[in-house]
Amino acid sequence: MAVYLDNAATTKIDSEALNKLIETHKNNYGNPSSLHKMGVNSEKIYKLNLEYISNMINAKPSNIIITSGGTEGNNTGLWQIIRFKNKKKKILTTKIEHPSVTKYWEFLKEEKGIKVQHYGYYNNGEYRVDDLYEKIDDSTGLVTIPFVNSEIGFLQNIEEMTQKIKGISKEVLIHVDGVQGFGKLKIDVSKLKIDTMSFSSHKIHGPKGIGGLYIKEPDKFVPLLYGGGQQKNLRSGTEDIPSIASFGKTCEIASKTMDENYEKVKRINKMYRELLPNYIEEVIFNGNLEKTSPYILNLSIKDIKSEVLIHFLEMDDIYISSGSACSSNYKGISETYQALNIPQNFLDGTVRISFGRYSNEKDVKYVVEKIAKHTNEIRKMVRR
Amino acid sequence: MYNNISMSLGEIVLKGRNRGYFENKLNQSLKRVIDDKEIKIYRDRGKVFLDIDDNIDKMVRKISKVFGIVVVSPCLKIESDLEDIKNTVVEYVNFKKESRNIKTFKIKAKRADKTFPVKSMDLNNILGGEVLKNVEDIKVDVHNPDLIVNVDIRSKTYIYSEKYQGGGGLPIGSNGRGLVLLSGGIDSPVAGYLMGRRGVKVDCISFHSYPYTSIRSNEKIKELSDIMSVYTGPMKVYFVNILEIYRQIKEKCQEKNTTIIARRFMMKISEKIAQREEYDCLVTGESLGQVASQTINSLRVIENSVDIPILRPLIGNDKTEIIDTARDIETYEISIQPYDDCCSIFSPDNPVTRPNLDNILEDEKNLDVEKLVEETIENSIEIYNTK
Repeated sequence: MAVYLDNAATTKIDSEALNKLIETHKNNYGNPSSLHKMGVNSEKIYKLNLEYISNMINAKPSNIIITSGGTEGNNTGLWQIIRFKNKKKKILTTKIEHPSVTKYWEFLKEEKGIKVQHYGYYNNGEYRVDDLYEKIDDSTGLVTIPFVNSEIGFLQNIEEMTQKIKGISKEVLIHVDGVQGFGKLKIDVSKLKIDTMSFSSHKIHGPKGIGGLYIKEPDKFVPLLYGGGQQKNLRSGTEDIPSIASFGKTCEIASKTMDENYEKVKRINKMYRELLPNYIEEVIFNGNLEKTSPYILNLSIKDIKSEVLIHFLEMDDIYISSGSACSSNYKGISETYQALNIPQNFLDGTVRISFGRYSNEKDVKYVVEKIAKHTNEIRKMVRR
Repeated sequence: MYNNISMSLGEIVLKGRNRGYFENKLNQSLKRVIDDKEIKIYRDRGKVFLDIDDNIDKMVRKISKVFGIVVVSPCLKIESDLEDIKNTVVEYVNFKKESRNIKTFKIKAKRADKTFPVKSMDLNNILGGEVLKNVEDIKVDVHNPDLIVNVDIRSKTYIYSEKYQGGGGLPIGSNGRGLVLLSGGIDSPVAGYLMGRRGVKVDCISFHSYPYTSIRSNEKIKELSDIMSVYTGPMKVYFVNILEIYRQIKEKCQEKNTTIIARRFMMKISEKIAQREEYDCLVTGESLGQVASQTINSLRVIENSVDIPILRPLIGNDKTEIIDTARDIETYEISIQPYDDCCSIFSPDNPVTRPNLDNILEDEKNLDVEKLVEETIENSIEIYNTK
């Protein structure tokens, strides 16, 4: 059996969710906009599952749109700065965002004259954001918050941040990238002053190609896609009813198992942090467990190349990642790692181990032993 | 309107008594790309033809990649009868005028069949006159016409105007068998293509050091060889894992010699496989001075490891020229994908650029070269057949 520890990249679909997907494709393929009975049935499925999805973050279904995934959610969230016409042109953002945030503000900067200012800095195992508040001024239109950073797992206290931001300016929009936190950590949007928050299905054992965006004020929302007027004109395009049904099922399961999984994953994360240094000399853990999501464990091993370790581990049917799977296609070091100041001889050996519902404690020792064995082997070849 | 494709052969026509052999090889290549038993390939006085009614453009494009063919034209085949020819030429010009603006034309008649009663010059006049008489709004321009109507008289007559470049060179398989050392970079696919164009039936060998290199880099090699095979015909790719060799070099030899000694191993392994599988030569993408292992000294030291001809078709090419060819044959985009190939992880920081053969041989004494070569092939060889 594969030991899959790359759950921050994507996850194995839950079998109930998979059945739901297939079943709905077979039996309920009608377009919810159609007038006939099949259309009506599809619409019912849509409404029911939108409720399961919105319950996950304690939102009303009318505040949720279904998207193609996290990237569309983040793009659409940032796009909301358009609401200010040209009156407020500044986005405040961190250096540890997912490319679907970074690349989109780069686009807005180029095409819409948006100004971008960074906040936040790495300090002693956490990504601190206390420099944010002084940077909010009259020109600030939007603040992005990476709830859980995808590479190191840095966790932000959204409640405290949104309170403070809205305390300074009620008008500033807050977009939260919720992709790595949704369904894993508790989020209650009714208590948070968030304007938009993105989330995704495939990071929590749901089907791929679907996600959503929470929108606090749908009447002020500026869509990214226009067309047939689906989803109350907020996001056009025929609804993918089978995926929505499957995602709904995923959320139902996730909300039931969230606490239990959280505790389990935290235990596993701790075990790695305790065991690895006993087996390997010179390993550093990036990010403090108390200030990161336990679902992500990032570490650097001296004098190895992470890609080589990954290939060694795949031969044992163990799957981990070097950095973020989404940014490993780009050459060069991501901004997140630059912010961390990892010593050069550790940097190349940086890997991300990320957990999911199917991770378990009994694999830890096996994986640690394999990592240690391969590290010794690789060091023999790489060290001079 | 067309019902036939004509093909002119390049250097094959210079081959005198061996011509049959070359034509045979060409036939095999053509049969492969045509891939339709219904379509007959035939010869008519030096040129090659095939009858075809549908998808002529697609077939012309395929044939334009066949080595040994210089020019390929879609054409209209009719009986070699003067009245027929007159009528058809008029019809042809009218047809051409429908699709584009043609104000001037020229007839270019050629009599490969000298028994045909009218001489070429006279034919030009007769057919030109017919067109002027029967086609509206058109004039003759012998210097810069909008349309050249070629009338090629053989046992049948072929009328055409478009000429497309063929693959050139000599038919695949007419010049022995070669084993290309395919690295995944820009150069080696081009080298394989060029030797294929000189008639060498090529297969490839590729070295990797998994898990120090990625599965993706082998996938890249497969993609490259699939593209090459459009020109060269189906190929085998031998994958050989030389990690153990690197391991032993690292342990027992001087670091600065790593690349040279590893290259010598690659040559020896290739030679061994060439002996077993009956290849006549090795083909590499080396270009003089491009990197440390491609200086003239390095080439000599590497070459010394084997006793089989090494063909290096790119030796005198600039990188830009190689890139141009790589773009033409569409391997470039794949070659530049950034997966580590087996050279990059083990390359020393300061490789020797003027290796000394005695020194290298001395260093290699620390290794059981023969055994390593044998075991490496034995333990790791995998074969991929192109699509």
